[in-house]
Amino acid sequence: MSDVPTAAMASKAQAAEQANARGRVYERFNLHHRIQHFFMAFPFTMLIITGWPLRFPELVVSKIGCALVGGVEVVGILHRIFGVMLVAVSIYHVVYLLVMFLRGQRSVAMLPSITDAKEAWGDVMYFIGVRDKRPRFGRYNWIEKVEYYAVIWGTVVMILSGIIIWIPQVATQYLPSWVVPASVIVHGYEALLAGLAIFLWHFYWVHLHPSVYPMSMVWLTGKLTEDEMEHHHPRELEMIKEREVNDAEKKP
Amino acid sequence: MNNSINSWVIRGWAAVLVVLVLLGGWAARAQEDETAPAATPEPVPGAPRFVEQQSAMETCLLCHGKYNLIIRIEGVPRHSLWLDQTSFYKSAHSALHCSECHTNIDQDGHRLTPADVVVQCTPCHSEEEISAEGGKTLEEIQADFEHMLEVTGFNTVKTVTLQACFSCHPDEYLEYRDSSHGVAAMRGGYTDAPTCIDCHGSHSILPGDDERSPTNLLNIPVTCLRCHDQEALQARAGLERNVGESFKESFHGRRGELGGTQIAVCSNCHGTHAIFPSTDPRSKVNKTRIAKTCGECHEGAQLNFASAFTHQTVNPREQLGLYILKQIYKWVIFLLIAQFVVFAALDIFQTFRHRHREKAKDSANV
Repeated sequence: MSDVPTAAMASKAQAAEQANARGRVYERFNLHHRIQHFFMAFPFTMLIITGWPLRFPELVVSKIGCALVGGVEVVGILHRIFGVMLVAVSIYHVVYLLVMFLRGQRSVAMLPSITDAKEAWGDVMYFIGVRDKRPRFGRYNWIEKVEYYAVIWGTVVMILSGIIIWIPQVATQYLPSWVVPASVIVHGYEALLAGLAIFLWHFYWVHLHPSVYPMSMVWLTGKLTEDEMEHHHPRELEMIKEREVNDAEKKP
Repeated sequence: MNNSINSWVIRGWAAVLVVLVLLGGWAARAQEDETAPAATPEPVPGAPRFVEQQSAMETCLLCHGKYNLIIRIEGVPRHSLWLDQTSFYKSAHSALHCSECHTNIDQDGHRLTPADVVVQCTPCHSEEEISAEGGKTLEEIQADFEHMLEVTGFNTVKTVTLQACFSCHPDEYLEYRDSSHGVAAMRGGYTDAPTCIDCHGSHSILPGDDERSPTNLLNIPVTCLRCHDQEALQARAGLERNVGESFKESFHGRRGELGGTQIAVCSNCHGTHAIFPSTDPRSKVNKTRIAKTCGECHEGAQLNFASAFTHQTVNPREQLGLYILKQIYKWVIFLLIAQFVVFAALDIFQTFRHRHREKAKDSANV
């Protein structure tokens, strides 16, 4: 792109102004995304709650919690029900990705790239005060990508170790016996890790961060305003507008 | 005259006395004859010998009803002989007399069981008094007691207990006798090898389904660990270490801690009266039987399943692989949380710093 003003650039600026005037919104998460997020978040939270007593049985809160729902056996049954929900939503996500891929609606937005490493470096520079602005992020920034892959890793680990603990007498017919105590350790610590990652890290960015406090509504509405796009995903906004301009130019 | 009248009166009274004594003797014998056949059924070999005249509870409670009845016996500086009546009368044995279990105790002086006579008598009674009463000096009684300890290997009270319990619970006794606990107790040398009362309690014995009973499902870990968690005992008797800790860490232990009743406690895997080391083929946790034992609850359990559960705790000596796994997770969690907190704190700081600057700029422009 040259610095010389062209007709294309002029029309691009026009289009942007029009969009602003209309109070335009951009769809960040479609209905599938939002359903998947909700049915991930709900059983995740419930699994943390129902798994807590067995992880820390000596705490008074664990004992009170068990007594309230009618005993540790009930808590165990609830934990399994929410576990099945989590497995179901994971399958839903895989099927969704597969269908999108086969339909040709393929997106590379979530794939890790060299840009992410650069953005991560830029972010660190911003955090320690060397640079004045955060990098211009695209559709998914490096933090969001790390979170996504962490969720995938964590879910796979939790589901596998959870199944082994659920039916150890079947698991030990095919696997060495040490997988059972190993799964118990993995299930407990991975849960702690996942819980802390969500309630400290994820909640910081979507709840506590000054620009979204008290909560970013995008997980419910799926929509971002022009300002929010400019603030959080400027490079994506730029690309959208560029594409619109190109499309507009092609039409006549 | 007066003399002759007096002599007749004396003779008359003497005759009456003789008749009364004879009558009393006959009555006593008649009573004996009546009760004798009923009181002596075919004796079971090894069954305890009941003291003929059972003492009423009240007689025993004259002393044992006092909460401050405390004696000093070998190794136990303050041994209470107080009978807690409130717990005793609620127990399964509330209908029995003291002497039905404490069979060897003589009514006066408890002279038959040295363990019971080693009361510190001297504060109140002089040595001469004791010697005259019991026919033995205090030193002799003490020596007897110590000899008994040496020979039997454990407190005489325990021997008596075994005999007493055996008379009504022979099956349990025979199972116990061959078990590790029983063998250790009989062989001697282990004064702390458990007998009936160590697990079931003594005066407050209750059935296992009563939640106050020490053999109730939820109380069994506490009951067993009272001995099995003691390091000195583990070393002396060659017991497995960390059984308590590893049980608490297991899902069985955790569910129990949370009040769950669908759990396995010590006795579910190791048995009750017939407890053996895992190397013994009679043991429920022996390689040849453990799959079946687990299968009692875990349908389809096999040997490979059973070997997933040990009493080893996660430490570098016993479970190096699991220990490393645990350490990796701990470090990853620590570093990630540190990163979260540091980045979030820096981000907040920078956000407010830039906002402040922009405001300052705006106000300068205005």
